[in-house]
Amino acid sequence: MAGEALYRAFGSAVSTRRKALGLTQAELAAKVNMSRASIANIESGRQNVLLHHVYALAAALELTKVAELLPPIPQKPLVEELKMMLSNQALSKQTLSQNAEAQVADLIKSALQPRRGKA
Amino acid sequence: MADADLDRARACARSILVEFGVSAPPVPVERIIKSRKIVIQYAPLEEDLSGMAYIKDGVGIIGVNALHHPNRQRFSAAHELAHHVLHAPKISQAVHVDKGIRVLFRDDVSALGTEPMEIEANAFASELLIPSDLLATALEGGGVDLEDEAAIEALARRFKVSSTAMRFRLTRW
Repeated sequence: MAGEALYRAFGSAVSTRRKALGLTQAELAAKVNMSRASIANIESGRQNVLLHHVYALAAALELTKVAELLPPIPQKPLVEELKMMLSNQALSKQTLSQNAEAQVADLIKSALQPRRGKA
Repeated sequence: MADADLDRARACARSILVEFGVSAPPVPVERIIKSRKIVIQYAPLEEDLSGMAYIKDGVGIIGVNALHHPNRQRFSAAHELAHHVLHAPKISQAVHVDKGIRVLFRDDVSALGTEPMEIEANAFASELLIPSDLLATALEGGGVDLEDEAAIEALARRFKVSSTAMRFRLTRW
C-alpha cells in the first residue's frame, strides 16, 4: 500500500475508534501526551506516525492489538478472486475503495483459517 | 426484483428465537450465529462499512466492523445473519458488503431503489434483537413516549441496541 493511503487508513481508524469511545481529539491527545493538532493531523493522514505513538494510541483507544488500527497488507489475488457485491444502501460510491476491499478480503481470509486452540 | 417480504423476514427471526429459547433480553445474537455454524469475525473496516456476509464453499462467514459501537455491531451481526437465513444463494455467488445504517429510513431508502434484500434484513434484525413479545413485556403493557430520551435509552440498554434502533422499532409497534 502506498505511504499516503496507509496513513489515511490509519488516521481514519483512529478517528472512528475515538468517536466510538466518545473522546474528543483533545482528550485523546492528553492520554498519549501529544498535542491536539498532532491528533488532528494523524487522523487526516497528514502526519507520519512513530511506532511508539501507534502503540500509545492503540492503548489509549482501549484496543488489545495495534493491528486493529492498521490496514491489512493487500492480498491482490484473493481480492480479485472475490467479487465484491455491494449492497446499494449507500447513496454514492457504489464501489469499495482498495483499502476497504483489502480489509474485507483479510477478514474473509482469517475467518476461513482453521481454528487453533481447542482440539 | 420482487418486493421485500417483511412478514417472512420477521417470521424467520421469531422461529430462530423460539428454537433458541430466548426468554429475556438481550438476545444473544453472537451465540445464535455460532450455533448455526457460521463463523463470525470482527475486524476493523472503513467507517461506512457495517458488515459483510459470504458463503465460501459451504462455509458461512459474517464480518462485523469492530470499530463501531458494540450495540451497533450487534445490529450489524443480526443484519448479516438475515442474509444467511434469507438470501443464502445470493451471498454464495459473491461477497456481500453492507454500507451504513441507512436502515432506519426505510421509505427514503426504498424510494432510492434499495434492494428488497436490505429491507428484509433490517426487518429480520429488528425483530431478532427486539422481539415483539419481549418488547411488550418490557413495556409492561403500556407505551413509551418517543420524546422521552431517558426512557428510550433505558429500553435500548436492556436490549443492547442503539436508541436509534429502538426508536425505529417502536415506531412500527
